[in-house]
Amino acid sequence: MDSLTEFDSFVRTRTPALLRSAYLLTGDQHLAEDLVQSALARTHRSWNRLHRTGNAEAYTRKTMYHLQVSWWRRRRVPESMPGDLPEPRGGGSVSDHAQQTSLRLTLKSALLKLSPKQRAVLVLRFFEDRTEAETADLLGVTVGTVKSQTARSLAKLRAVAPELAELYVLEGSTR
Amino acid sequence: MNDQRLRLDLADLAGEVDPVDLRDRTLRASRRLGIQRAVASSAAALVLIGAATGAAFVIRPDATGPAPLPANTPSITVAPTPTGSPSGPAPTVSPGTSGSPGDPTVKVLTGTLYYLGRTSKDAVVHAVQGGADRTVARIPLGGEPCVGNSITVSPDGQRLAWVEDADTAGFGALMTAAIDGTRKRKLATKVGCLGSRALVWMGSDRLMVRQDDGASVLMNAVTGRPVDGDRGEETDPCWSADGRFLAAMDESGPFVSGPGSRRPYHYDPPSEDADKYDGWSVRSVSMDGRYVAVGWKGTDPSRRDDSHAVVEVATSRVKTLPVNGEVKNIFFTSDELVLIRRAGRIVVLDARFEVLDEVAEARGTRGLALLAYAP
Repeated sequence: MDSLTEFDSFVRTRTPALLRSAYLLTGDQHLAEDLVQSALARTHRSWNRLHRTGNAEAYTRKTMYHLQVSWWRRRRVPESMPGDLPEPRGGGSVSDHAQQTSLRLTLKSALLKLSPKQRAVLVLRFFEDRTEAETADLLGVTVGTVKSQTARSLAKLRAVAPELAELYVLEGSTR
Repeated sequence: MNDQRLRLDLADLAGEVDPVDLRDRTLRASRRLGIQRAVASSAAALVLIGAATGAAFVIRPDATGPAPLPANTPSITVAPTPTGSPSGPAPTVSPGTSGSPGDPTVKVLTGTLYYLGRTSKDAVVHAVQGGADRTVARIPLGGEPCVGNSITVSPDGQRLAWVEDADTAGFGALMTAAIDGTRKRKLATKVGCLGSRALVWMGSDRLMVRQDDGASVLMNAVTGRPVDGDRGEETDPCWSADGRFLAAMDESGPFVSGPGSRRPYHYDPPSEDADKYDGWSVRSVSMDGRYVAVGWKGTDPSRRDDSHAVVEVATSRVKTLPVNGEVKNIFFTSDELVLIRRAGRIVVLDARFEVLDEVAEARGTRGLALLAYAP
């Protein structure tokens, strides 16, 4: 397989997973696509080296998080979101589709009220299930910063969406 | 319930995203990135070289060389032409020797071009006049992207404005200063710095800013107070250099308004490029309001102007420009020139879009954002 074919294969197999993380980071399909595209483009620039060392995906993810945290994106995501959070759910079974949809909207809106860095920490810790050390490495910050940002993120989630606090015991986890 | 529930709900939310094939877009973005890096590397190397050798804004091979610089120039680069010298008296106007000697019809680029450069610590405002590139101001970046993303020069080249000390959402203090960075003043707080056109000049005294409540406010840069009047519902405002004509968009579409007139128009950008950007907006308006230069809205804060076409407002036709190659900037000046920037050169057109001249950009400013041209 030549280099371009290998890169094509990498893009097509890894894009879905990258998009899922990017969607949580941005809250928007198009912004998520932009973010993943930008990270993949940088990976492409270094493809020969990354492919040899087998670090392509780690590099792409790290780039994606750095871009998201450092970019001051022209179109702020919160501006495209509804001004108010959805009404709290009435409680009940998790299997209830309507309730699950409502919860998803609540969580999405709440996430978008966090700063990009806080969102990145939450996504890395609770979606990608990274350790504090891995999260620190990916974001280029200290473990202490990850701990404090995680605590602040969870506190802010509790503040902006109290109904989520009822669902989650949002005390963070330490690994 | 515990953290595990949060994990599950995040996974559920992430499932909302639609899978797409980003292969082609990625390769296109990679190509653009390669070009940008090459330009940036060249500019950085040349800035270093420029400290010793200077940077030329050579009008023509047979030009008489750059003008001497003002005596109070903070930093000086020496143009590498046989006759160039930074020393000597301090005239403020270039000899303007780009035209053919004896040809009275030729207008020359006698004004000052202002560019934005950066170091790791400062936003650096370059002024290029008569072939000489000098640094006129250094504004500390303060470890945040806001200053570099918002700093702008008034059309008369007399004022700087920028946003600093921004919060995580990109809103901070609106600052103004003289072009050399002195007489710094804070005019307002909670002003946005996002986007490639966070601060927009209306003439050289007024500045349109965006507040954190989403409202646009016109600030008087002289009095430091908001200008009373209807804020309007338009978006993407851009004024002619004298502030008489406004190009903007409202719910009815793009339009240009001026004294006693309001003309709607339309523009369909090239579809093969349109999907790479967030749309387009007006970047420059001619002094008579007849033409607008349109550019892409970028998806990052690179300050790239990306203006690429001129639209005649009355007919909505795209003007055929007498240049070859990729256009990077189109700039209508207050002395009724049209500057078209491409590949390290500036083609100077008159108001009828006829070529007057073509000049090489100062080496240290190639690839930098062009902020203003003051005659």
